Amino acid sequence: MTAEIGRQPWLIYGLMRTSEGYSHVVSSGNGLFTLIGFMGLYALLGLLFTVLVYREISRGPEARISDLHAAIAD
Amino acid sequence: MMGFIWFWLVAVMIVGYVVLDGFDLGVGILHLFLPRTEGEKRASLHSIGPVWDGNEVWLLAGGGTLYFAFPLLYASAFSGFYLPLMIVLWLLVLRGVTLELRNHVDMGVWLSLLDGVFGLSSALLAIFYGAALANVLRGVPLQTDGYFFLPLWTNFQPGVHPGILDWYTIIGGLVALVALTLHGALWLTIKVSADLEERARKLIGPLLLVLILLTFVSLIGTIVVRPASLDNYYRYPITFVVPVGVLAALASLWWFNRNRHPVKAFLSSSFYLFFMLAGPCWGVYPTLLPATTGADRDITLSRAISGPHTLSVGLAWWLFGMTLAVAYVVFVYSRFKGKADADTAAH
Repeated sequence: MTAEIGRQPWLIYGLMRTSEGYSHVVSSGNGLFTLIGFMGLYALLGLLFTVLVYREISRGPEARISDLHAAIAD
Repeated sequence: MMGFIWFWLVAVMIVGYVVLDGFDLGVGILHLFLPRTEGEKRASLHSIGPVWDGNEVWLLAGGGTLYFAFPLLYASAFSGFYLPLMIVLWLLVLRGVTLELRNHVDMGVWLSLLDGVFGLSSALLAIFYGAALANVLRGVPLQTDGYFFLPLWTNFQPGVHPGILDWYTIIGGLVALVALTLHGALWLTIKVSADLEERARKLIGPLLLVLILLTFVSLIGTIVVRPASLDNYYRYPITFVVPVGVLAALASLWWFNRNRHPVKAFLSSSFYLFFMLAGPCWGVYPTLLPATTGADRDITLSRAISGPHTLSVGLAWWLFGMTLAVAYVVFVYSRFKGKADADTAAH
């Protein structure tokens, strides 16, 4: 975001303006639709990621290090 | 000369993608109905587990090569096909995520949801790819500035202002769906065993029959929609070897499948895909994207190609990169021999 917004109004700094680079045939409705689509998809994936990581953490490691030491000592 | 080389390099990468990712898309489509038990489902997924993501990289590399060599084509196509390309991207995301999540989620109802999304996105991707190729062959309503816009559909007739879906591109989608399902079934006969293998084998005959029929329909459709497709062939009659190759590949597929040579049958299917893609490429050459609005608006090789210095530097890097990629493919597949089953370790 910082890089993209900070560079405006340039697309390539000093070479090409954003107004020279955008597509004339992709409507703003299409842009909004895909933006919402990506936000929905990423929200879903973010949620899934959190749930899966939480489950993995709450399940804990399979063997504790102290057990391993005990096994080696035996 | 550089134009000729880069045209075929891009074509080779698309063929590589379709042959490699084609079979795992096919396994995905078959996942909707072929494996019945949990063990069979796992076996079927394990048959593509270590390779599907590597196969998909060929699409990225192909897109990158296209962007590099033909920037005008890339710019025009990616804004004209904006919405369908975004949908393809979403389908690729959903397919990869559902396939990988399956190993981490162990509750029944979620598993069926993941399996369903995985199978459906695989099927839709196959249809989209076929329809996309048909769109390129039929042409798009290019304006003089190189832009074009296509609605998803209009009256389903190819003409000056067609939609992304018309009768011709729907045929293209069906050819891809059936060809890749068959490609996937052949892969399963190599990689899985017992009942699942037997069921996959039983599907091959009927699928092949439908595919032969669709191949002829699509060939006739292409000539109807774009009569100029045959010009290059008449100019260099030796190149009729390509359509002959399509028929030979179908015949050898049938023969090897009948005599229980699954690997050779799978290779025949790969050659079928190769010839089916090389054929139209040669049919449109040296046009990259035909215009339905008049041949003077066609995006041609000479209009779209990058500068000579870019291309010669790129050629050296391309050869280097592709050597690595091919070495990787050889290595991975040589390590992934034999049958996969329900217990094969996840990658």
